[in-house]
Amino acid sequence: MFRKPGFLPWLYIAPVLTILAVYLVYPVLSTAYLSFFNADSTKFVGLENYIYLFTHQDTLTAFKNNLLWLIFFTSLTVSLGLLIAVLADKVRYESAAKSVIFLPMAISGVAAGTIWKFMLDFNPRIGLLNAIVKGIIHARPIAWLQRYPINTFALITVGIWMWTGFSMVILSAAIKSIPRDIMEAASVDGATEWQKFWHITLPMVSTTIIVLTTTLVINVLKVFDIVYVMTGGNYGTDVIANRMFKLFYVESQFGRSAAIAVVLLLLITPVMVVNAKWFQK
Amino acid sequence: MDVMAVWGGEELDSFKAVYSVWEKETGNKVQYEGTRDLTAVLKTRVEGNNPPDIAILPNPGLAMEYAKQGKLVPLDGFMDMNQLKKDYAKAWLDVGTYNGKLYAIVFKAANKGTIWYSPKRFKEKGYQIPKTWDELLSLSDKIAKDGGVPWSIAAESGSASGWPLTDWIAQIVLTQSGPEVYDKWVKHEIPWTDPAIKKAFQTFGEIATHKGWVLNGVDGILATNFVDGSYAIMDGSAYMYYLGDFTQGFIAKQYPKAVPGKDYAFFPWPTINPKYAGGITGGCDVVVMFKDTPAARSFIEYLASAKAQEIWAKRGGYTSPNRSVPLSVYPNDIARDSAKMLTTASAFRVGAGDLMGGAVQQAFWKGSLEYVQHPDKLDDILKQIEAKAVEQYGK
Repeated sequence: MFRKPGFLPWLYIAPVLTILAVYLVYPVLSTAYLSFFNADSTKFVGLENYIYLFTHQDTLTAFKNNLLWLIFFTSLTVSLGLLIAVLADKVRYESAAKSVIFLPMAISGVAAGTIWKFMLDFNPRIGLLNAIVKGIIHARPIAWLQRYPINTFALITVGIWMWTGFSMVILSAAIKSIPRDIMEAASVDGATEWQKFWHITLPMVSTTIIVLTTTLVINVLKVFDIVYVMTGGNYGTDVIANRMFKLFYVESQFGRSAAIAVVLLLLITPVMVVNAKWFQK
Repeated sequence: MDVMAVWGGEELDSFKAVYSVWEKETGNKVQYEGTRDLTAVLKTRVEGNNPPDIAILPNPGLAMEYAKQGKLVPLDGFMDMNQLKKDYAKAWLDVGTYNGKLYAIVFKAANKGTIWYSPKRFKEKGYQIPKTWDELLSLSDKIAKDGGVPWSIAAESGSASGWPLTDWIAQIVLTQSGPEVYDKWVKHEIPWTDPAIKKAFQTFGEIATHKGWVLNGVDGILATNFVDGSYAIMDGSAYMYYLGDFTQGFIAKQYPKAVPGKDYAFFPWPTINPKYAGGITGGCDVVVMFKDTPAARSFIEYLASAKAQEIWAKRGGYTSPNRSVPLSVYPNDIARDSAKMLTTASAFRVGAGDLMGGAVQQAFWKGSLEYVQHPDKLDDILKQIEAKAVEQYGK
């Protein structure tokens, strides 16, 4: 016999709700409120900040770059992760291979950015890639981080390098949860590896892929440390999060940086909803 | 006690030498935080009500912004003003004065009228030191025709990339259009689109965008760090490098056996307009106090003294604005010549970028990087910088 819950449960979760309200809800509302004011928050300017964001080259470049990151980073990280997960499943040295691929996840974005900044250095005596270009291919050194559009793709590659391990681990777990009998039955029926992959593996991990993709999308919309450390957002590599940082700290434009924060939130929220919904399944 | 500054590497070693003496004498400890992104990091701390006790800013304009916001402790309340007036010419004290009160002391000055070269290589090839801009251009042409690369230009500096290029442009404005135009430009009494400023960029472009005159071309300019760029004159990959007198410190550290005066030296910035010959821009690092504590007071008094500044002066790569520092402490003739040049300049101005506020300075840096990549877009670039300036200054 169950009584109606009443308000006791609310009492139990009240402390958590209060903390959430103070540290999560209040800042969001406050930021949204400030986004309608001017640079030092003294004058109400309505939608002016938002109009600035969508008409100025700086922010438009940032939005464009986030789109590039969205498309290339997400698709390549998921595909590479899937490919490695499937292949690793079939070899004996699986653990070793997976550990090596997963290693970059152990370091921070700043550390990864610094390492790659040295690797991509223009001076062939420092930059490994240019040492290869100059010493082995005998071509002129390439300014990987200064030339557009190669620089954005170089940054995206660093991101992929970092996150493929994460993608692989998640997908590997999903693949291993596919019942072996199904795969064996398919082999008996004469299916090729490719057919098995396409018609069995893929559909059975599709839920995982969706959750993984949405997680990466949320990640990529917020990408900051790699860009900040490697190029400082210069030479056309700027991203939204870096723009927000610059607007706030260097240009002291509180209204505009709040506006960008709100835009970012609005972009991420639908993705988070999808993520949460599919995670249940 | 917290100290924040931009110094790292060789410059930090010298600063450590300076403050370790104070640490020994007073028993206090200096907690140093260094970052080239000082503008942003410092602002974070100030906004978060957790500023460092002391900060040393390469940008007097930024220091005065903080003074205006009331975040700095006025120094004339406790420092010995008589001693300061004796040690520093009025021009130096004015740099740190806001609304009649002293908020900042110039700790390190830099002469930015120096072009570095290797006297040995010049002698080998029979090159003469140019005295005018036209002679400089002919020399560059001669070097190129002889198969060498006349210039090394290096703009990379993390978030502050571009500042070495704006040094060029500021120096050109001063010696091409004169101190009055320079002052109006800095105060935004003339717009960035003014013909004098446009001409300065284009004059810079005469060298920077000239095909074959710069080491590794545009890529080299954008990707080479300003410290590494100085090594080019030592290993012969280029013949000339324009950067402030602190360059001596970089070269001396990388090439400890090199003989100053023979393997490397500087010649003074050439004359562009004879009416304004001898004008030099310079840098100054100013010390400001955010928190009024006895340790901070003692430290700032120490930094302002000739004793502290002599320590760095002896190591090289440093020029002191303090006239009580005798010229004899400088380690070699090069350092002495630079210090003398600073005190006998026909006109001295703090580098333009450093006098502008944070947002405009960033726009200036970015604009210069953009210019060397796309010199044909100069008008647009100037308009963009002007837009930022109007926002910042409100007119």
